[in-house]
Amino acid sequence: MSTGSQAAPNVQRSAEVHEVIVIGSGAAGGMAAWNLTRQGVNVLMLDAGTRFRRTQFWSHVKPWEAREKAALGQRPPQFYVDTKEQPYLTDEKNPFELVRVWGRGGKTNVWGRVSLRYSDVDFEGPAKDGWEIPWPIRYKDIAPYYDRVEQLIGVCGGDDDQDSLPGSKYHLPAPAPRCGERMIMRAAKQAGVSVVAGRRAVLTKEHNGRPKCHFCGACGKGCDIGAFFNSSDYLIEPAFKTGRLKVLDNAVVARVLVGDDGLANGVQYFDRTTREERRIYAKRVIVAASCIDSTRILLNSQSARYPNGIGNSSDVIGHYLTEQIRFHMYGFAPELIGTKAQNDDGIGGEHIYLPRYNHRGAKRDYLRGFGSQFWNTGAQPGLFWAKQMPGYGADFKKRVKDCFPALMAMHPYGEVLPYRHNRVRVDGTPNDQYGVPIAKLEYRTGENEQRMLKEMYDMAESIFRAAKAEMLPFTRGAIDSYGSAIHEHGTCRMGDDPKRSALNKFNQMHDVKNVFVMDGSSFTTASEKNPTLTILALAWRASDYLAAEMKRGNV
Amino acid sequence: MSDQFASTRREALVILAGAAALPAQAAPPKFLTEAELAQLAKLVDVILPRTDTPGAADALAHVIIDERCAANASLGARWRELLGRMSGDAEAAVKAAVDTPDFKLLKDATIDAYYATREGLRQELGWNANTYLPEWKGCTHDEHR
Ligand SMILES: Cc1cc2nc3c(=O)[nH]c(=O)nc-3n(C[C@H](O)[C@H](O)[C@H](O)COP(=O)(O)OP(=O)(O)OC[C@H]3O[C@@H](n4cnc5c(N)ncnc54)[C@H](O)[C@@H]3O)c2cc1C
Ligand code: SF4
Repeated sequence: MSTGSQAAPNVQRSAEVHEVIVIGSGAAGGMAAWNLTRQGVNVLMLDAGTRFRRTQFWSHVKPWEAREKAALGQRPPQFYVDTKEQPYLTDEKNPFELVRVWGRGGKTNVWGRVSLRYSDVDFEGPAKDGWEIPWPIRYKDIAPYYDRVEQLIGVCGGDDDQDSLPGSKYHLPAPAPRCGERMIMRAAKQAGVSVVAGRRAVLTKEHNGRPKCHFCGACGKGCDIGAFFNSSDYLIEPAFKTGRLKVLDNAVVARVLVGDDGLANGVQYFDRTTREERRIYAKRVIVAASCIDSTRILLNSQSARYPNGIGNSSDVIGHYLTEQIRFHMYGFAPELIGTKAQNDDGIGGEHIYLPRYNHRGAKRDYLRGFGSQFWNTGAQPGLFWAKQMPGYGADFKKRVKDCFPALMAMHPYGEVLPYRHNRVRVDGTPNDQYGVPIAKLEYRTGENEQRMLKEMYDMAESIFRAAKAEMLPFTRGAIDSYGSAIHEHGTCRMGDDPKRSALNKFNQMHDVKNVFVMDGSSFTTASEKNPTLTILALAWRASDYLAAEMKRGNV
Repeated sequence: MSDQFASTRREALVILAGAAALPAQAAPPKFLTEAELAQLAKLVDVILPRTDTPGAADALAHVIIDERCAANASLGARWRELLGRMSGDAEAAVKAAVDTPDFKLLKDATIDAYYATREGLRQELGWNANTYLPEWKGCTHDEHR
């Protein structure tokens, strides 16, 4: 199929040339649209889905009510993309589980909300250890944007910052830990590791006119009052108020189109309801469809000028896919076994966090680091752990009840190095229903991760031992499936060297000045942290730069 | 929200008696035969029996499993095989199956189903969350620090 500006005669084309097209409405696309429109720029956003209505969320539907509602034929919003509709390929030996949300707000409708600032331990890592290319930015470049993002979206947290976890003047009050979390903190201290207050984009008090959280723990089903950041309510709705944002729903972008001058001049997309092909034109294109979908679009945007995908003279686009390895370890706090179950909902996720510490002390036999989360600690529905306890019958039932209030859960996340062989490809893959090649994900971790994993297991076990917890069985070295961290990065990375990176430090393509890529694909490394706060900060910074360049007449 | 499930043992027993008086299931099975469903009710009750709180069959865990079978034919076929093997006295069948994939399937599915019901989650475990709280106090116990 041609990807130049000549379309087949039956393809619908709009004559209008838009100022800026934004592809995707998640954290990255939402931020770009919000920041540009408030600076006077007109934006057309194309989103692969439609709006999820808060009034239809099942936030307060109990597990048994869900069954009753299903029997009446009712369904909660279907956030996740069905692979039957949009398949991808993965290596059978090393399957990669890709989680996608198509629709207004993207994955921020259901995200875990953990909001950690990257530090210079992260930004300087590759420059110091020499693995792959250095980041083109440092903490000082992004710090003012972290400040702004936190003030805008509301992030609760403590003032117990560390060199690996920069603090913030703008945190909302941190929620008090649950009983089990206090015990983890105490045990970690005994084991010589510090655990701090979590940082989460949940409104623990009213913020910018938005209501505060009512501690119902339902965040994974979507928040019916919008008390945690989601791009739809916090960015796109305000952007509409400027009168400068238009959104095309159900517009599945396939390719970025290129003019004779080598600049992007629009996009080709398919209507998800009618399957019709359309082309729409613009002076600048922001790609923000989430790491894998953005990379697929870029690689499929092939032309005589860009035979291996737009902006890919470096041949790095599609390579260096990275996220984190993680595993789960569980035990029961002895003081809580047999106690009465409390309401442990809190703000949904854990209220504590274990920041990276392995850059201190003796040099390790591996590069980079890990941190840990603790969600599910306390009396939480979903008794997966009971399946791992031996026995059955009345004694078993009593044991489950006794253990229910006492669950301690630990989920360490370790950085995976960027490897060239970890990649997204579209060459030789089958087409989707629109005739567009689907993505194939090839991913495996290596020696470095194996060595790091050993210390991650040692650390986790030492904390449970210090807590004198009764532990559920675990297999040392086992990891959760690839992709399960849902933090894909690196396949369109930024860097100072155009031969080894696709984007400059403002998320602008080295090769194609009017294309910006603003999601996690732009990250040079993954770090051990959750990315969304950093995606938001980078997208704000990049769209500031774009607005300024537009004023200067440079793009 | 009105909460018909009481926290005291006495009231719980009253509810139990009421539950026991109900027919085992109101609607006909969706996937299994009547006989298979009746056997499944006995099997889930061996895993999580009635004590001073409802058991898995009281909570209709077997009906929930039947619904899952109706939604997924290959799962249904798998259960049908299991029920073929675990026939006769339920207690003895479970005992004989321990350490087999059948036992794991039965136990895991009973846990999933039972602890998502009012009886299992709320009445047995005392879970009473997913509510609206004006404040969050968290751990208030000095001894937990
Ligand atoms: C269950 C869960 C828990 C998570 N927990 C955390 C956490 O605790 N902390 C954290 O930092 N992150 C977390 N994440 C990850 C976080 O959600 C993502 O990092 C973030 O949403 C990424 O933003 P994005 O804009 O890149 O992509 P998304 O939010 O995924 O948005 C992508 C957008 O692009 C659109 N799109 C996709 N393809 C196309 C196409 N072809 N054409 C047009 N539009 C397209 C989609 O409709 C969507 O609007 C979690 C994610 C999940 C699912
Ligand atoms: S816990 Fe708070 S943020 Fe989460 S769904 Fe409930 S009200 Fe919303």
